[in-house]
Order: sequence, then structure tokens, then C-alpha cells
Amino acid sequence: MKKRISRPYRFQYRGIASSAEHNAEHDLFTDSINELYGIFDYENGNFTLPASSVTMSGLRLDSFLLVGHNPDGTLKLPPMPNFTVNPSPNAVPMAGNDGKISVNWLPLGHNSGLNADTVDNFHASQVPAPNTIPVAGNDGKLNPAWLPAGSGGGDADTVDGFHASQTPAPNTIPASLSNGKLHVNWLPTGHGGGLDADTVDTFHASRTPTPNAIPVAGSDGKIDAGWLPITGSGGGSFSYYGRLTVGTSLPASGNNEGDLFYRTTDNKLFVFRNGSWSEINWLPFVQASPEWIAGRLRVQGGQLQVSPDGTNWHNCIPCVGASVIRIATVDNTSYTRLYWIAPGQTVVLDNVNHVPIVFAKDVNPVYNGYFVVSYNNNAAVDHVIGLRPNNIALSGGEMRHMHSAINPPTSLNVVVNSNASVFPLYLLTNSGSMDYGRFSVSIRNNNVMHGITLTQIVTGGFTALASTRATIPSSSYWFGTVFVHQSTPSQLTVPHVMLTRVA
Amino acid sequence: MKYAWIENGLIFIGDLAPEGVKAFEVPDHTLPQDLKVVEGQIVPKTEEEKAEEVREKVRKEILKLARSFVNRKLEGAGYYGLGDVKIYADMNYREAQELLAWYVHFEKKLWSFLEDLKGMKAEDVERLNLQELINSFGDYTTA
Repeated sequence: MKKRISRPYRFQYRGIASSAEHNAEHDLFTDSINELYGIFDYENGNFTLPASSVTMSGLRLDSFLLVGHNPDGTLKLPPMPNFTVNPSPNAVPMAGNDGKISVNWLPLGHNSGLNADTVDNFHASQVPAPNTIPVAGNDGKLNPAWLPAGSGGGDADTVDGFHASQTPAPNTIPASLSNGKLHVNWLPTGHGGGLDADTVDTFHASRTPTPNAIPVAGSDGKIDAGWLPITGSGGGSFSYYGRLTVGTSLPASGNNEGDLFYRTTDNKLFVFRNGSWSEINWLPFVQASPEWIAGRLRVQGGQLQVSPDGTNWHNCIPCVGASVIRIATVDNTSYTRLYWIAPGQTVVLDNVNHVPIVFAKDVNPVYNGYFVVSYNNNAAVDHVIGLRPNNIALSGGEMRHMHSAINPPTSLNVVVNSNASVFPLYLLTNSGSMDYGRFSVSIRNNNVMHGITLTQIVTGGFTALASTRATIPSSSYWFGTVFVHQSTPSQLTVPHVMLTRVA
Repeated sequence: MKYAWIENGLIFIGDLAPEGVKAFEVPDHTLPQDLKVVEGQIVPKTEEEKAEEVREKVRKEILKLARSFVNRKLEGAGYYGLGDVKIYADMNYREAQELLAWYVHFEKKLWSFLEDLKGMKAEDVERLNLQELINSFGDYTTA
């Protein structure tokens, strides 16, 4: 229902205005009032404003207030959060007296999700740029361009909290000196220092004898015997004496300390030491010989070979491993076991009809030797005991033999024998006999063997001195067989022969 | 069978000859001394050549032994040499005259043997004991 008021009574006001004008104004006033009243509902003396009559820029106030008021007409406000200056869950931050909210309202820390636009006015970026905070790339690392590269780069104070220094000091990073090297006191030197170098003066260390390597002691505290030269002045030898046997398998019993064994199946040399066989690397000793350097000694398929001319090669056995070696394996029939000895090496042979030692005449080797042999010459003519190199009969073996007269042994006799089939060592005149003789032999690269011999002749107890020489075949490479030169030469078996290579 | 070859003007004999060298087959037990080179070929010496070599060798040997034997004899008697003996013999020293007679006998025996040696076979020569032979030449008594 709408409130309306009644138009008042019309009257005429004298002189001032006609009643018609007055009434018109009055009616206009009344109509305006009623028009205003028409907005409101009126009931029981109360005006109410219909919500449907109110619009707010297209928003209907009744719709807005439909669920937002209480039964008594008051507005129903939604639940309001807790406003507080102290950070707490489900609360609305409120500024403190300083006008700022507490920093604890912010989600700090890694993965907090806080995403600031700048830090101290600096923006962040993965791409290096001036006045920018670096951000790791997808690989989790900074772009290297962020770093001050080059000699004009940055200078860190520490690395992981450690300072750098050229002077050795605890808890310090070493820096090289002006020569580009660290001060030696940075290293834990000295025995027990734990310093483990890769090489020393570019040489590696090894337990196994190896060329150009530094020897290391084995578990027994001793270096392998293969490190030592076979001969030399004094202590350079493996041992003073050894007995060398040749075969296909190592003897399991009957071995003595220092025994040597050459295995023909793989050309390896062993020494019996501390109750077991140990391999000797014979190659370094061979390679150190003058004939190896001269190209007259080589290893072919593991087999040592000697050559008289660099073209024809012959197998031989390295006789190394002790200062004095008694060669126990000889072939008195076919002479198939021939041995190479290095300068300084001494060998002993028993009951041999040949001297199975090879040589290379191109290096002009010199040997000293001894014969322990009993030989009697009961023939009318002289007998010459000597060698046939390579078991080849010679012609022109020459000997100048000087000895004292038999009785009394005061005058000197000279015998010249110039056509022997051997390289002469000893000469026995008729009725002469010998027990012992020694010789010095030089083998020259012009195929001439020279000798100086000394013989103890039993008859009369005197001594003979001889100078000998012979031209040998150019194919000669071993000392050869022992023969007595006479009208019908005969091969002689010598109880003991000792031979030392001087050079 | 063995092989003989020439190298540096000398003859060598072995089981095998060096490669590329002209070799000659020779019987076993042949010595280079049994062979000679004739016009580049190796040929055996004749038996007479070998016997002569043996005889020459013995001749030298026995002369050497004889010289030694005589020297010992003279030294044992206190003389320096045959000239010394001759001087004392001319001075009618009996001992020197006997020693001179011994030497004449010895030399006669020696040269007689050397004449015989020229006709001896090689094997007979090699069987001689020269020292015993010399000693036998020296057996002489004036009685």
C-alpha cells in the first residue's frame, strides 16, 4: 500500500497571487510528496522501502541482501577471520605499532614458495647480466659466464674455508713457487712418509727384473736375483758357484742351493734358492754383451743364437747365474749343447772331449783356461794337444815351444811345429807327459786364434812355455773338439777343463 | 765322409762345408796335412810325400835331441863345448881325448842313422823311440 496525503483546501491570498496559482503550487507540492511516498510501502504508520525498487548500477539490492540479512532485518555478515599482529594459523595479519607486519607472517626458507620480485633491488636471472642475481640453470649449475674468467679474474679468499700459501703450513692449500713447482716441504717425504710416486726420474719400480726399472724387494726382503749382473768385480754375482743342468722339466729332488737349470721347452733359466726354483731373466745379461751390440747374438723365438757372420745363426744356451758355473750337461757325441758365456764368466767342464763354449770372433774375445789332464807321449814324434774349432780339422796350426832340457833342467830347447791340425795348446815331445796346463787365447776378427800356454811336464818336473796360433774357418763359432795331433789324430777326453772369459 | 775346402789359402776339413764354398769329399780321418792344393783343386798327397814329411820331422827332432844329449855330456864333464874339449885333447889331457873319441863315435852313429832314415817307411819311423835311440848312440867305451 502507498501512503498518500490529501490536497489541502484551496484559498485565495489577496493581492499577492491568484488562488489558481497558489493552488497549482500546492498541488505540485502534494504530488511531489506523494510521488516520493510512492517509493515506499506504508503500513501501520511505518514506511518501508521495497527492495525491488532499489537498483545499484544493475545490482539488485534485494538479491544482494536476500541471504545477507538476519530475520530482524539486520545484515548477516560472513564469518570474519581473526585479525592479529602475531603470526598464527587462519589469522589475518595486522600491522603493529611500527606500521609493519611481523616478518614471521612470511613463508621463509627453501621451497617456501616465496617469490620476490627483487632482492635489494636486484633482479634474478639465469642469463649473466650486469647488476643481476645469478640463478642456476636447468643443470643446477651457474652459467660459467657469471664467473670472472681470465688472468684478471676474481680472487677467492678461501676454498672450503682453507687459505692458499706458497709456504707449507697446516690446513693450507699449496700454491706453486715462482718456478712453477711446489715447495718440497708440502710432501710427506722421508721413510714412512706415505709418499707414493709413480716414477723416480721417469723410471718405474718393479719386483720383476725389467729393463729400465727400479728394483723392489720381494716378500722375503730381497730383490730377485735376475736384477744382478751375472759376473763382475765382486758382489755383482747371483752366487759364487752353481751347477748348470739342461733338460725339459725342473728336477724335483737332488737339488743343491745355487743349482741352475735351463729348460729347453721354453728356454727359461732357473736357480735353486731357499728350497725352490726361481726364474732368472737371462736376457739383460745377454743384451749387455759386446756380441749382442755387434749383432752377433740374438734371441729368436725365445732361443739364444750366435752368429759368426751375421747371416748364419746357431742355437746356444745362456750360461749365466753364478760366478763359476759347472756345466753338467754336455753332448760328447754330437756336440748339440753349446753355451754362451759373458765377459767375466768362468765355467768348469768334466770329462769332456770338446769345449762347448761359443764365441763371436768379431768382438775379439779373450779367454783364460786350464786343462787338468794326464797325457803321456811315448811316440817318437811330438804330440800337440789342441782344439779344432767347430770340430773342423785345421792346417797350419803353429806352435813355438820352449822348455828346459830334461837332465839337468838348465838349458833351453825350442821346438817349432807349424803344421798341426789343431789350434795348439800343449806340446809333448817324445817321452814327455803332462798333468796340468793353462792357456790364454785371443780370437781375432781376422779368423786367427792366438795363444800363450804354460805346461807342467811331469818328466823331469820342468815347465814349458809356448806361443801358438792358427787360422780358423770364418764359419767358426765355438771352441770345438779336443784332439791330439799326431800321424793319426785322436780325440782326447779331458778330466777337467776350466775356462774364463776375460773380455 | 767329410768335406775339405780352401779358405785363406788353407785346407780345412769338417762334417759340413760352409755354404757357397767349393768343397771336396774326403774319407773320414783324412787330415788337411794329407792334402795339397794343385791348381785350385784339393788332391791327396802321395804316400811318398807323406813319408818324406814324417822323415823330415824325425830328422829335425833327432838332431835336436842329439844336440841336447851332447851338451849335457860336455857340461857333465865340465867343458863349455867341443872346442874346449879339442883344446884340452890337443894338450894331451886324457879325459878330453876320451871325450873327443866318444863324440866322434856318437856323430858317426847319428849320421849313419840319418842315412838309414832316408829309406825308412813312415810307419817304421813313427814307431821309433828317439830318446832311446840317442842314448844308444852314446853307448861307447874306449876299453
